[in-house]
Amino acid sequence: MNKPVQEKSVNGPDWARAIADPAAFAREQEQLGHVWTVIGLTTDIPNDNDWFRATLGGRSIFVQRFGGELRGFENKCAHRFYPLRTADRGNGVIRCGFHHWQYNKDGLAVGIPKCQELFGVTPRELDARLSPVEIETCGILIFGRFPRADVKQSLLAFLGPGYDIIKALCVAEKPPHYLERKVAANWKLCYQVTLDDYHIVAVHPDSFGKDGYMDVKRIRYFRFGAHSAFPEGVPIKRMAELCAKGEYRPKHYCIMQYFPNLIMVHSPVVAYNWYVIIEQYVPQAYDRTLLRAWFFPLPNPHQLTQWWPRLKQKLAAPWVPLAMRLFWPKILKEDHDVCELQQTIASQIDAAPILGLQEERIAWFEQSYQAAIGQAPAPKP
Amino acid sequence: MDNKTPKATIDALSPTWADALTDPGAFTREQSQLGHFWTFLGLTSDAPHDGDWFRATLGGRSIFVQRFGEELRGFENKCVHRFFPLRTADKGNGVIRCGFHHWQYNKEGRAVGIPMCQELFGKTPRELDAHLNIVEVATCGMLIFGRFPAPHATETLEDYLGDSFEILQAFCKGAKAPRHFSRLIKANWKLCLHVALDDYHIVAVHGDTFGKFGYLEQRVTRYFDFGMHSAFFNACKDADALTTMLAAVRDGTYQPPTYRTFNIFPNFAAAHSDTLDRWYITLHQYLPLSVDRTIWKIWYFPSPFPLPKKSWFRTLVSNYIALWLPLAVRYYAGKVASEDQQVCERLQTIASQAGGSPIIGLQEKRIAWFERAYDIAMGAVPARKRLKGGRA
Repeated sequence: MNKPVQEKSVNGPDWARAIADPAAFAREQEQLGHVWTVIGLTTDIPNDNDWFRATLGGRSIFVQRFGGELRGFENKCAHRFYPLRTADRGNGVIRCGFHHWQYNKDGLAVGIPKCQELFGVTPRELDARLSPVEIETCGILIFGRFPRADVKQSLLAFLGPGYDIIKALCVAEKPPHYLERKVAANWKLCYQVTLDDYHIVAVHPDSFGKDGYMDVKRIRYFRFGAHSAFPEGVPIKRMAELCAKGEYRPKHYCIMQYFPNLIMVHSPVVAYNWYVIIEQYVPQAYDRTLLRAWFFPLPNPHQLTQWWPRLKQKLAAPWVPLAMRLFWPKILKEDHDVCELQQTIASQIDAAPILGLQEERIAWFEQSYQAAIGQAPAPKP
Repeated sequence: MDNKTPKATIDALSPTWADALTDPGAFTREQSQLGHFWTFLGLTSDAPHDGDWFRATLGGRSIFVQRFGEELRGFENKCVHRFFPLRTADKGNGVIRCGFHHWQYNKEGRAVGIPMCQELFGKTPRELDAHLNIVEVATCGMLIFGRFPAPHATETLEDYLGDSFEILQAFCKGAKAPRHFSRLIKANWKLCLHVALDDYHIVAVHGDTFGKFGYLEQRVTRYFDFGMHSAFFNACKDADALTTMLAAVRDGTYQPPTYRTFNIFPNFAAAHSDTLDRWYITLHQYLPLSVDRTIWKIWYFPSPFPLPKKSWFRTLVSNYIALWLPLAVRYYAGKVASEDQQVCERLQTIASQAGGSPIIGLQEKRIAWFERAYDIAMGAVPARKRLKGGRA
């Protein structure tokens, strides 16, 4: 495992093209729209007819609850391409604000004012439909993708062992805490920083990097499908097995990156309080990204037996979200400053990076990326 | 050029002259070609001490120039490891160390300090042999020029500047750190440059300064082209004035008679102009930022050329006035720059409509010369023999 990874720098010379070129970015997003991508949480739409707006493959979409079912559609009326949803979230039937066309849960236009007079047919004969988005959930995470004839992989197959892990850990009774941050840099630059454990000394000198570089022997990276993880302590397969049986009680920090742009962390935060952190770098333009982040207490944490740690944990618990909101944006800012500076010379990137062992997962990510946008064969699982 | 019998021959520009005014792809290609020609980067006074550096732009790329003792070195401002900008301010002092992972480079641009190198990369820094991209740097007096190396870029700066090398050197002899200002222009750099190479617009655009006394008298308006560059001497009877000037500069007797400007390809100019009773040198650069954004940088300082002898009283008055001259120069240069800026920005608004060649008159002749040099730089036409060396 721990051999030099010079040769693993698989990024072709074009790996950075979509970082500096709007047209290449649009093509990239088009392709990534067919990859299972987190678009929101089930806790965002708990009630019948609740909906939220999201971005998938560079396009505006929305997800709506119909009873027990979630449906997703491109946010574009079939009539004259008006956005059906013009807010971030809401509740109500799908009715276009431009000419009052109304759609049912299959995305079929069923209510069309003056249909017979103006279009000469009934709505059923007209058969106008919204573009559907395929939806699946895992835990509270809602994944979506645009359908395509050759894209058949289920979410379970796509996530592999990650499916059981997400299902067990992404459980929240209350809606998670949320924060977001705008970054003036390409989403890949943002995501790559999270896959890099080598920058901590230079970029986070008074937190993660305070004690110097990480010991190479301590680090073991796992690759599964298009994803990767850095769990301390337990191999990823074992972790998935324990999660499936409901017996996983983490003792160490773990970060997992799910292709294309999701990050999941579980970590002790303050005084034995464990949290799950979900982050997502949503591409908005070739040089703009929105970080969305959610955090909530880890379900089924390790039970403390001694009274003193238990008391500390209990006393600290109400203050953890506040502490997170104070500390975490500082770390994010340090990373995002780096990304924004990198973006300023993105058009000058014309070679492959030199990736060391603590950046190994960037090479894995780029392999998955090239496979997804059709530049390279898919990596063997 | 024979200016005695002005025949209104109209030079046509190549049909592609306006492509890079509005098309980002064409602009990127253009800049990457121009990066192989000696381009003005800054002044030695920007990096006077050991370890001083400043950031600049060359061929559309961020670069920096750093002093190592007596020597100036230039590098692309991009760490080879993960492409982070090594310099994130306009100027400073210190070793070349990347802020992302602390890779450190020596004056050859080689990564000599790599944290955890053996553990993470399986090699020593020497074996890894990671190098910054080099920018070739040369100076002419206090002017620093640079270019990206290329097999065809073999001409020395001295040969490239030709006759103007010694003249530019003389222009900034003894100058300390010149005053300067800059402005952002929402127009393509070539449109700005065309205005600088045009002496015909003065009446319409600079009605109360240069154009106050009407159009230039064509009979005594002298243009010279040498290498890829050009010069304009105002109110000059001597048809061979460039040679005469060069000789006078060489033996140290040169005194500026009238306004004279040298435009150095691609985007640099140096002029002397009379300001009340002294002469001032102004340096100009039109720095291309993007297809429709340019930074116009202007430096100004008193001319080093000897002044004519005066009575003690006139000398006293003159020295008193000289105290206030920087303010006057700043005011007039700023005013003229604003007028030109407005013209350039209006040109840019319909730049995508610029089909065909403009109609170039005699007092815009240098635009045609510039565009001919530009075509050569773009590889659109082969260099003619007379353009190869800079000597007239």
